Amino acid sequence: MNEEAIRSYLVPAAAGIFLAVVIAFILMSVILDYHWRRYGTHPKTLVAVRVVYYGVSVVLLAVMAVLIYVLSR
Amino acid sequence: MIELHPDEIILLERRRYWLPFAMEALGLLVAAALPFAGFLFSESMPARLQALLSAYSLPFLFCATAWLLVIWIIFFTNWTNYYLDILLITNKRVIDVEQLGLFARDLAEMRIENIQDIRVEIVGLLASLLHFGNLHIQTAGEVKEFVIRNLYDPHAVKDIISKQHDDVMRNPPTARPSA
Repeated sequence: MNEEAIRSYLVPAAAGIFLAVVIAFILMSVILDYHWRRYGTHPKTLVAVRVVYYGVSVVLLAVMAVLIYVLSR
Repeated sequence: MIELHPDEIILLERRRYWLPFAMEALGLLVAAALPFAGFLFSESMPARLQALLSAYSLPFLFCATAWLLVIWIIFFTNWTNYYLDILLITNKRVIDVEQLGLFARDLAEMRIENIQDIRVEIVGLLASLLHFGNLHIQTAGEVKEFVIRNLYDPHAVKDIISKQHDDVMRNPPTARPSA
């Protein structure tokens, strides 16, 4: 397979990986958040945990989205 | 959340010892760093691999970021299992919550007056140096023995339960709440 053909598959493959990661992230976040709300004992700690968890996750997802955009150009 | 009785007071709240969680976190840190180590040490790789890495640096970076996010989610799953594993000692009960996974939770409850014997088990050099071990509680209930594993300073926990047991036996509860 030549390089051009490989490059033509890169963006759809990256988009597929991105979609799979987003679905896994949403699913796991719903499960984790449910556990924190239902069984957590320190609301203040859990607010900080949510900020760190969602903050870093959104940054990583944004980096992935930007890389897909750059790859597609 | 664990519901307490109206006149129930929490005397001690303790989580499992942090070391097993820290070891898992360390393993995840190493796993997270692996793809980026590939970038850092690309010069020491074979020429063919170096060329591949420089030609596809963006897709590689994309995969590394996806990998980082997966590791991040696994870390928080482990942290949740650690955080929700808790031992509560109240003036009436000993409540041991063991989070065995995201979909498995074991909650054991012993009434203080039913406790018959408490035994501390510290096995191994690491456990002796870092003061963590298991607590075996024998009760008069249906389940004869409860084992609470990997507790920091189990002797102190035992002392608190014993003291509370003595207090309860001196002033036994007049009526038990219905189940």
